[in-house]
Amino acid sequence: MSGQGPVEAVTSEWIKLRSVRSTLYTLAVTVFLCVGIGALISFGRGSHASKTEGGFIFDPTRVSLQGFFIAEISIGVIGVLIISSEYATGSIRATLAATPNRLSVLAAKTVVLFAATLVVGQFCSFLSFFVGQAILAGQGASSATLSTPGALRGVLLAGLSLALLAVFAMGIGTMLRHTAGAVTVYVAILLVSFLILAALPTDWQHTVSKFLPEVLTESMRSATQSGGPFSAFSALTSTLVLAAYAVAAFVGGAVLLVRRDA
Amino acid sequence: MSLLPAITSEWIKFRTLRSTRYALLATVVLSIGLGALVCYAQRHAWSTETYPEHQAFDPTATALSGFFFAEIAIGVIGVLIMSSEYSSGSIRSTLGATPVRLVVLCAKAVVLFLATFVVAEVCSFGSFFVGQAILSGVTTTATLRTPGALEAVVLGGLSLSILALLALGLATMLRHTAGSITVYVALTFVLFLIVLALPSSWGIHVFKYLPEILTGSMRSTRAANASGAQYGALYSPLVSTLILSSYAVASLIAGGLLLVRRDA
Repeated sequence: MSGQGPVEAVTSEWIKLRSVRSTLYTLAVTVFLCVGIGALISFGRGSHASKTEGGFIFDPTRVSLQGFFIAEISIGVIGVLIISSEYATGSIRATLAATPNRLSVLAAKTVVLFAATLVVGQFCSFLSFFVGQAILAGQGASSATLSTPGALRGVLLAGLSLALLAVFAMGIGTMLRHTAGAVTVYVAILLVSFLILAALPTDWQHTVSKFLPEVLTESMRSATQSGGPFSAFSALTSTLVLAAYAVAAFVGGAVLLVRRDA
Repeated sequence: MSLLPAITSEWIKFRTLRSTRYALLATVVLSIGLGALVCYAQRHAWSTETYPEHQAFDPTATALSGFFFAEIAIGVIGVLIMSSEYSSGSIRSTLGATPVRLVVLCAKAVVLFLATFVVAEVCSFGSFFVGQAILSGVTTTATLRTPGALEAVVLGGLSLSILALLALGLATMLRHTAGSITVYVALTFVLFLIVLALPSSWGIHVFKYLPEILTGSMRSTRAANASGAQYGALYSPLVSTLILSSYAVASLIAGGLLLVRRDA
């Protein structure tokens, strides 16, 4: 018998994740900025309640969840660091010696990362929602409750989108094994693609926009369909497309992890 | 050790690291390549677009569209030149060799600024000529003699080196690669998205001060009317350059203060 089984691998990954200072800082910053910026945007939009500003139909659910822009970055950094920091310190060699089956290592990291970011993501999304709706209602703007059609789905899928992005980022980190490079690629795919979209002609925008991660997550956290200036998939289809990206990044990382020296 | 030998040693570190070369290569390839892609798309969509869209079309800024990506890659280089010394521990030998800490920061800033300036001008002139070649014959195009075009191409490149210095200052403050890149990206891109989500009557006060808007103005030939009515007039390219430079200077000063006061 050599090394750990899957349960032990999950346990050791959980210890590593929760006992590293950078994880705790990053998660605390994620929650704080996500809820705080969501509250700021709710306050702004509630006090200037024009219905279609910026090409968006006023959707109180999405407005309260706008802080997720920043949460997406910090959650991606956690996803990258869970693997790249092991390469930076060299501890990946001890990890792979303890669990020689490399897919077990990656699977264990995925389980721990997905579960932890899902809990934090849902915490962010429910808290952002309630704080945002309270602010909107306090200003007499239209607000939502969890029984508003699409609102509960928007809140749940917003939290899920963070967990999927974390796994996506972990896949990139596994492929590149370098913190700076992996964070750069993650941010480029997430945000820069969105900015380049704006430079494209309108008919190209309609073709590609719905596949961009930022448009997918925006659709996931909306209660109403087609809320934005770009054409988008429905919330559920967007979830599946984003999940497919996460799976693709995981598989890419897994193939390289198995084939390369550590 | 005085400034010149410090600059020499920073230059050796800069040019011999694999990560610098990869990041610079990625900057050039992606900024020119993405700019070319956007120009190709505009060329194909031209006949279906309206007269006002044709009037608003800025061939110079369109050719420099790939700079969105270059801004990230160049920021990462600016971060790594400092943070990688903290992750490897080599900052202690660096400070042992050059005990005056501000000299170290100055030397890094000089090397970073000059190297990224050369690469960034290659990116901007390359993007400009490739983009105009793709657009030519179909859309309106620019030459370097078009009013504002040469200024936009030169300042577009300069904007990248200023951002690199901003990133260096952040990394000197934070001393951690992932954290510094995150903060840099939050300042350059996420802040922009957040302001877009706020009501425009709020955004109008801060919009023209956002790094992404300043660099957009620097690489545009018609910054003054590019933003549309919603956010009012932007700063001219030259004023935008000064504001962006003041951010970089502020970030370097804050980094310098912390570098002098803290243990390494």
